[in-house]
Amino acid sequence: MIRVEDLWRTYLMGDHELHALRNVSEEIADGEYVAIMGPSGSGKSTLLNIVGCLDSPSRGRYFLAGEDVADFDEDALAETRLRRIGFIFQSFHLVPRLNSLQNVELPMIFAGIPLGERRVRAESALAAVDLTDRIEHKPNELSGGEKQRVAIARATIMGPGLLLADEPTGNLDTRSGARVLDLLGDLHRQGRTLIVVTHDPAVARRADRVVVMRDGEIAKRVKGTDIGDVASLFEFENLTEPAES
Amino acid sequence: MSLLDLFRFSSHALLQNRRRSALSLLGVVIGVVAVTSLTAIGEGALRFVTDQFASLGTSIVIISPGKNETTGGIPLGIGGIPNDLTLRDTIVLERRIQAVRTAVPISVSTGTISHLERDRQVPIIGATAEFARLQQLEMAMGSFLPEGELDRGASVVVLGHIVARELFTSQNPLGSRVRIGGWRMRVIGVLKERGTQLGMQVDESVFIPTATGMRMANKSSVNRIMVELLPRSVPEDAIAEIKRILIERHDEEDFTCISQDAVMSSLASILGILTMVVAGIASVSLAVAGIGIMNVMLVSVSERTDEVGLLKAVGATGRQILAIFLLEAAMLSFAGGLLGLVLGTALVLLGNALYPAVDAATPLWAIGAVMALSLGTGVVFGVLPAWRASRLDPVAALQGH
Repeated sequence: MIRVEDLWRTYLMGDHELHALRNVSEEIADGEYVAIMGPSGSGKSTLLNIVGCLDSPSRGRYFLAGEDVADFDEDALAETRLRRIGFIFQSFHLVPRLNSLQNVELPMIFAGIPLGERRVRAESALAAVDLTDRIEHKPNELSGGEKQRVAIARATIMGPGLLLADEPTGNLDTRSGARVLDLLGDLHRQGRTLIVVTHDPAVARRADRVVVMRDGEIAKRVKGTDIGDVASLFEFENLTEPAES
Repeated sequence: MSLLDLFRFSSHALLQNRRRSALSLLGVVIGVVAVTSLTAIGEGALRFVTDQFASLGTSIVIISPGKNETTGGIPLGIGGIPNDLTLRDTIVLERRIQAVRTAVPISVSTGTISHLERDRQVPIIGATAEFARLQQLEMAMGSFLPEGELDRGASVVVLGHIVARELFTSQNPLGSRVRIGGWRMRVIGVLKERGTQLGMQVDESVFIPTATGMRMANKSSVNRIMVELLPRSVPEDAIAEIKRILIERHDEEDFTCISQDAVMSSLASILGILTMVVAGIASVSLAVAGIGIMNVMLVSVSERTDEVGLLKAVGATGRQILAIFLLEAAMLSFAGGLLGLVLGTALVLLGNALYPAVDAATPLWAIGAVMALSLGTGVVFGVLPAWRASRLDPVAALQGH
């Protein structure tokens, strides 16, 4: 279970403070599928980065499976990112010089898993996202949808219980986006907790629950199926705006 | 992260950017080439000098009259007048000191040697039969000075290569009569061409028995006594004994003993210091090369900010990222070191082929030092970029800042 309490994230911009998160408290149960929506700069990515142990809050507490993450030292944070969390990014973040197989292998290198086992596991992870024939391809030889599927294989390779996706379909056309969402849905059904940051109501609609943020605060919590109402409720001019990077 | 994976990952990154990697290690290559070739030249010069001395025989002590000493005040009485070295001194040294194999009295003068209408100004060396062995003189024809009583000066002469060629052109000089000063001498031998050697123009000299030389110069003393020690003797002990006996005979130390060993070792140490200094200067260029590596690694880190952010996001620790970039810098400089060693050695071999007289070879200590230094350069100058990479904030890095 994920629990954040009274979370603040403050950046100093010159001599005035910018609050990316204000007083955010939320609980996400194991196995839940949550979408975080909100306009650009509403703090949704910041929240995701804190939940993903990439960033730490200026104030407030974050409990991951009951443990206070503030107690984690740098190695423990890296270990958490390695084994318990899988990240999927809007711009894929594949290492350009490495082919699909090597990109999927990356986390296993840092986990110290031997080469032979890495190969086998990476190959089967790529087969699971239907990319067996793209194993030797470098990122620049792959389509956007294929890149995101490689990234999903990489995010799941260490078997994390928590998947975090930041605008996973933001750079994809509708069809490849749908395919990526199907894959994420499958991963959720296998028992993983899934948190997706998105602008897209079509994406959010698949979630069990939608958390709507504005100005660093949680403005509304609704069911995924009720997303249509949310859109009208908040007059989401951003629903059609270009994806944030 | 296993060591093997670390190597694999870092080398993969380096090979991906071949041109930049190659350019950054160029500086190291140049530095290492400089160190290897300069120390090789130093070593070659040292060996050249050592060989020259070895050809003179290393266990030789040369005694010359007079004391190399600064004295103060006005000498009182007649004690200040030095005794000359004599043939008798030579005989006594040879007979009384066990460590002495032979003692050769040498007289040196210059004079004119003439044959028919040709004449030539030459150094006239008075010596004995053993001199040929001590100086490793080889005969082109005839024989060297005859063995026998020291004071029996025969009227015979051995010609250096150039002297023989100039006076006799293509004729056979053996048995011919030549005039040296007012003396008629018979040519009994001609030396092989020797070339220039430390301190003596053998090819342009003539050699006569010491006693003959002394008589020609109307002197009762010799200029030098060359003492050859037995191979197993201790030079210091032998010199002490030589001094004791000569002081006993002369009543004072009015002579100077120089052992070939002492001259050689001081020359060798001078050359050694010179080599170290030159190598030290050359290794400064390695430090410059290190700055080049640091620069390239800094560029590499900033270009790969996104990659570093990703590596952190998938669970790499700061230490692992530090290790990756540090190893890249170390591999760059070590590869530069290896390449420099190969090129430097090739250069030395080429130099040896062009100038066979100097047998240059990079000494092992220099190879070890330069490789350690180039590796160390990469590590030292790689620390800053690698540390910077390891401290990158993953969120900012992933956003491309």
